[in-house]
Amino acid sequence: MLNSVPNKEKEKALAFSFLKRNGNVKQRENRLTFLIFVAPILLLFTLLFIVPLVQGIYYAFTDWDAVNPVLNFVGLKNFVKIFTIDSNFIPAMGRTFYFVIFNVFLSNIIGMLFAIAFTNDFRFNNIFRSMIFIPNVISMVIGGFIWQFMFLKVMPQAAANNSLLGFLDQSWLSDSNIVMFSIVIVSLWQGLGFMMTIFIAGLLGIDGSLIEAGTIDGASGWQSFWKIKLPAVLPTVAVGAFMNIAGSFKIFDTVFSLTNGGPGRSSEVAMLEIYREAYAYKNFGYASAKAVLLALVIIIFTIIQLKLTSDKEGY
Amino acid sequence: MKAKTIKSALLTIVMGIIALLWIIPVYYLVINAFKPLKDVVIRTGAFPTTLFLQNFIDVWKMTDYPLLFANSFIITSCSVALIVLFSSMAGYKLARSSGKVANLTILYFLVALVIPFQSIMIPLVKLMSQLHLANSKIGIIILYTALQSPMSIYLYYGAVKCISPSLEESATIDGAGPIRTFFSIIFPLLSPMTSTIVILNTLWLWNDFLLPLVLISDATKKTIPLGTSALMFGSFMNKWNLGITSILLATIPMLVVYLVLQKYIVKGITEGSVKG
Repeated sequence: MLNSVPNKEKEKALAFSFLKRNGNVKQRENRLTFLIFVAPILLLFTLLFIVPLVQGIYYAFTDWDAVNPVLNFVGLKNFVKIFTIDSNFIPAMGRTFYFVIFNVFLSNIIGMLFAIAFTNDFRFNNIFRSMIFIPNVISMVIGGFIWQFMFLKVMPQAAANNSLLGFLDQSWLSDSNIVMFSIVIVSLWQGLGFMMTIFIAGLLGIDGSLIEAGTIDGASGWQSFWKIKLPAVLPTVAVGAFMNIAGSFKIFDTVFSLTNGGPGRSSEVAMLEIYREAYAYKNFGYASAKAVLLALVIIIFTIIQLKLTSDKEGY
Repeated sequence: MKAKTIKSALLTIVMGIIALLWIIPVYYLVINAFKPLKDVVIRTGAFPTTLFLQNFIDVWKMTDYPLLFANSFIITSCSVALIVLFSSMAGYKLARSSGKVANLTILYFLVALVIPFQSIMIPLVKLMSQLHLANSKIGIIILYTALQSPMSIYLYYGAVKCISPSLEESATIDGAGPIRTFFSIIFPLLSPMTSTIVILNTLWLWNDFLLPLVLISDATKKTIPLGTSALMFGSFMNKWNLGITSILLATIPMLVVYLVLQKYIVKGITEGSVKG
């Protein structure tokens, strides 16, 4: 009885040390697995994303260009120049904002109208849906070329051959007042199928019993849309809208192939201006400063989008 | 009942007209690719009168289409395979770890979802040439893997959280190592997410333009969008018959993939965007 106490303690200690040793092995194994599973992509990502990200911010404060191989730190000079002397970047940002506003508004509104139509039951519903989705799988740069052909050849000829289609004969790509709107048309053609699809998913995800309860309470189709469907689908709309905003600010491919910024600079969007500053004029430091500014705008909208997505997941 | 029939008939007509309008550009591409230059310019809207195939023969040779296709195919398929491999492993391990390191790592990858490619582009081009990875297919594949994986890691991370850990625990008791456990038990369970990730990345990478534009100048390494656009600004300028045909050839691969796998593609894109 008396001896049993130290024995028990000894046993306990033994058991404990066994557990501890086991835990250590397990921990070491766990760390090794972590290294095998996570480290390769972590290193690759750091080297090819984080390193250039930090470099890019640094370059924004230098005078790096093709002429001068030595980088000099110039402080805020590049940023001051953007807002004072530079006559290209701010107008390019303005055009980008114009595009974003029209593109986002129209693709959300029209996308929602299409989605509402397609959630009804009618013949060929699926075929029509997939026809509208087709441009989404075409590369945007190719989409721009397709529409160059539409605007320059197909539409003027259709207008000439049929007086009813006379309105198609516009200087779509050569009138500086119309050209940004032509870009919106191409962008809608390519992007609406996507917006429509996520809205359909949102509308179909609504709890059917809610709508049923509304109908029993005497809600008309229109009322049930405004009071029940719209509030329920709003989180999806918000996510889609902000994703669309962030994406629209990045517009480059479509403009590159459709107008290449013309006529003059009247469709030169922010990303095209940055691309030219870097690769046509080789002002890499200065172009980096512009890229940092554009990135800041995109980051704000992306963060809002991610926050809305996680809020939505929280439901 | 009658009102309902009228409504659905109306919807068929209205949405049918809209859907036709949507694919009109594709129709004009197809009919004009089979016409000589004169007919393309003068009678753009007319149906071809003869089966004129010379455009395809010329464009096939001038663009070196098989080479462009092979480049796009190799770059896209290898990148997607590596993205799936790395991001499924990382997403799995991060979802199953609860320490501070794992949480910080996930936040670290989140940076990639917020920062646009445009802000790293200029330094990246310099860095890639310093690493001798510019102008090389392997370089582009490695780069796509690095840039696209974070998004997929998130999607896998979420999917793994929905799988009960008891499955792996019993495999571990049976003596399987972590790598074998992952590939024989977890990875097959993740296949719905894998198909979403494969679809999303295939579409993005196949159609990507800006990254190849700044990193590939060697004509033998160009992808379909890049090679096509180079000729549209070059030899095909004002030669609409050839331009139209090369655009059509550039559109065909993804169009065929879409028509065959439509259901999965729409589902993949919807899930990827709503969850991501």
